[in-house]
Amino acid sequence: MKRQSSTNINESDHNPCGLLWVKIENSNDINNQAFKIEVSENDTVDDLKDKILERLNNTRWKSMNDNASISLGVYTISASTSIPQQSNYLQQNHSIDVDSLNSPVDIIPNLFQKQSVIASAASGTTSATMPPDSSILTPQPSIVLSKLSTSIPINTNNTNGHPNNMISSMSPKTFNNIAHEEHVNYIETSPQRACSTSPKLISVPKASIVRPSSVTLSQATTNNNNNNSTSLPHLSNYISTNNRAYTQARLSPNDFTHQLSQVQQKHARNIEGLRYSTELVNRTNLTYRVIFQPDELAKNIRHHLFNNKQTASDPIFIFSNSTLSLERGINSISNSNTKTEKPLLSLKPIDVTNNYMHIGRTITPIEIGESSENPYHVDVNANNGDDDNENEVQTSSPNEFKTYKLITNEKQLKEASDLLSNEDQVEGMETSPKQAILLLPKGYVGDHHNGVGSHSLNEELGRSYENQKDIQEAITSQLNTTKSHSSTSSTENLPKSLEVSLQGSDTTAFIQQHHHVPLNEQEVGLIDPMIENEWHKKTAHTHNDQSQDQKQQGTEKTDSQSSTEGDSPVTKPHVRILPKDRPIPHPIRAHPKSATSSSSAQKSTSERVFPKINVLIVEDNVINQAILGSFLRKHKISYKVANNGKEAVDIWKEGGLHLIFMDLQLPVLSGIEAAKQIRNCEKEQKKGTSNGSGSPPVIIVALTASNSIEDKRNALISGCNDYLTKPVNLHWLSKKITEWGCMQALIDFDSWKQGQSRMTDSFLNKVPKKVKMGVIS
Amino acid sequence: MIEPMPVEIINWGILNEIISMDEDDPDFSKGLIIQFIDQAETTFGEMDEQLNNNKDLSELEKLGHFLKGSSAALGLQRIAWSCERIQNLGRKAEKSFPSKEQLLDTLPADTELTDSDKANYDKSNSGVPPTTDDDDLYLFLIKRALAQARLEFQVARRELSTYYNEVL
Repeated sequence: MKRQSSTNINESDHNPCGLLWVKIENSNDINNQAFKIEVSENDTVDDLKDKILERLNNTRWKSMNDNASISLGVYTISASTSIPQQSNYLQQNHSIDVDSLNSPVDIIPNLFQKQSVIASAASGTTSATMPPDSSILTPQPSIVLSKLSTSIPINTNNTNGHPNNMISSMSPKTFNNIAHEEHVNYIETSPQRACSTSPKLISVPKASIVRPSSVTLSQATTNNNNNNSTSLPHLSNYISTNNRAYTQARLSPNDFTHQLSQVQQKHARNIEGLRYSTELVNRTNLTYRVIFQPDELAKNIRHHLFNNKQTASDPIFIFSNSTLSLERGINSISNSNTKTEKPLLSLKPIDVTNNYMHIGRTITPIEIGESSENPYHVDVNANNGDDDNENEVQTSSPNEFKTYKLITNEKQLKEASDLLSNEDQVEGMETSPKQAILLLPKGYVGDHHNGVGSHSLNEELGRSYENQKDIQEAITSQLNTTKSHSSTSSTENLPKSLEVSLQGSDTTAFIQQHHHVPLNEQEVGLIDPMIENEWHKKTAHTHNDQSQDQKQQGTEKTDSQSSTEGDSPVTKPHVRILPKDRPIPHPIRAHPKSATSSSSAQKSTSERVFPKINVLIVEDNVINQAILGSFLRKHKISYKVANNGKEAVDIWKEGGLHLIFMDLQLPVLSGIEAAKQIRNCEKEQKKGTSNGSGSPPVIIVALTASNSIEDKRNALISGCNDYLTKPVNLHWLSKKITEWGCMQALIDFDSWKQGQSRMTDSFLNKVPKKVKMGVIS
Repeated sequence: MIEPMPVEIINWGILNEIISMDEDDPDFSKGLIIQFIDQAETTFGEMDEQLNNNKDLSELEKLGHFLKGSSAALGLQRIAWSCERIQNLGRKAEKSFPSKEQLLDTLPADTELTDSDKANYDKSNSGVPPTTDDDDLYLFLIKRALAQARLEFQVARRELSTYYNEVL
């Protein structure tokens, strides 16, 4: 809290000179709207980026981007230039490259390339503008060449330009700029694709007309160069290597085959006097992306580009690597009017809560419709296919027609990525993140999941369908365990059709909690299409012992947990005895020997799936508040803070909380008392609502500073579901949050609420006495 | 039975988790440490106040608990240990405190104590314990525990200053 204000202080150190509207480019988040960034007198584009990142600090977008991966710019549409002419031109350019460089590497056999050219920063004093006229934009190279004493063959077909201007602007400065080229090349070809690095370098697309208007003379030089008239060896070198970079990074056949919607608005950008680079993003209508150099002053952009009058409808776009890499997937880059509407399925978690999913055999269409009664209707008739098959998934979502591969484990991911990168090499296209569909619980907003651990889901689903009996046993023992030890781990099994009676609200919480516990972080993210017969086959034939292990785990767990709890977690917070073969919410370093299935999961600790939950931290010590708060922020979990038990109860009454971390020793009202009050209120609420449609009980996790058994017992008796011993191990906590949060995510499933007789609060009230689980003894 | 004093001044396993959050939030851990230093000094002062004037054991228990929470969360385990002693002495759950020789022995061999450290430590960590079994005994023990906590605080502060390469 204290720290958040610091940046504001920094900003106020400068004189704000205005606002800039910026908008994330190509995001299909409906919440993506232009927003204002305050611009100080001396802010550079780089500073702007920092501010933007700061502003978006708590978003998912931020988690995928940093200063190096984003750039600021606008789109501009060039005036008409015929493609044949360009092709012609490009061809010529290639010949020059060949001759001048003698380097096959630099010859790009792709006619649809973009050229990048350097120019010095326009002084702004030369006000001559260059009309979008090809005769002007195809300059006279021969003169340039002679002046520059180069001996490179020149194609004179396009030499109608303004050589004099060009020469005059070929100042030493220009050559200094050239000296930077190699760095630029390097960086632009790097995966991070910093859009802008070297100051004063302007790389311009090859297409002959870059700007519809207002090109200064020195920029005309640029165009001249661009148009192949310059044959300086190093320039050519630059151009061609840069071509490669761009070709790989940006251009694909899709860019050209896809006809954009007609240019609705030709931005006649006045980019004179700004330092920028451009990229051709759509050949058909010559859409360019103008990317500002990082050292360009923001106020200049405001001034030149918008004449200090910018509106929200005409924002500066924030380009990022992650969105760039998607463009192939969506087949196009569009102009500024349409691009933000483009849905980007590939990297976007899909909310499948209300969707109907049908997974068949190896080729599994997934239908995403508007309504269904079942959140995951999984057709598990699939009987064959092995792990190595990539399952094709078709979506019938209105916006998505591409075929995506459903990648469900690391192996598949690797294969798919190898495959795709091979393709890319052939086609000379970029190799960057591929599309994947992640099936996630409702409201999921966490980080991307890399697909490990889906196997255990298979196993669980398989078990849940065919081995319900086993599962019941497992759950029973799990609940037993829970009752006596307050579970510290997720279970192995997914209870699909258990019925549990309601025996008081305290136990309700337990039941609900552990009803849903089975999905842990590795499992919630993905559904493997070849769900289960296959798994059963495998288990039956090759992993017999493993499956037996799993069947026994319920009982093993009881033992192992008691031993775990028997240790003193306070004095040795990081030393926990872990049972084997158990995907555990425990810190990595405490994981002595993980089973093969969970070892891969361990690698992905950093890529967690955190469900969208609201957490309340009840702590009187600001330092502990700050630590927990920072931890939650890091994982994009929203949270509130209460300083004592009374505040906690008050905040809880406001509603919307899923999880409470409750310190027990608190001023005013102790954590124990607060937990009791909350549970009592829940009871009353439940009575009040006749049909039990009240919100599910909040999960209360006690934070105990001592490890005395009595404290823990008191915590559980008072209505806490679980406890953590302080100092909280953050690795462990993240696992626990996932576990708790997943439970909540499942509890909130709409359809689960709507009378699936199996689970959640509705049945708990409707069928109160139906079931005996020897659990709650 | 009193738990043994941890040997390492800082549990880096714990502190590193917090330091790892600096990635998202530069200087986060250092800010916390600075905040803790303020908090510890304030709390020590409040403990002094209780020891000298109010002599309220339950307040001392709360103060010990409070500082134990944050010091433990930062991995400053020897401070946390001392605070836990204060907490337990405050509620009379323990009725002894290890001798200062024992405790000094547990310090890492390379720990350097300044003269003022030693002077302060000795000054408030001396005297003959009351023979009675009333609050005076616990207040006396808490006073010693507080001296220990202060010493540990100075040692930890120095180690942290070294780590952050800055006088904290």
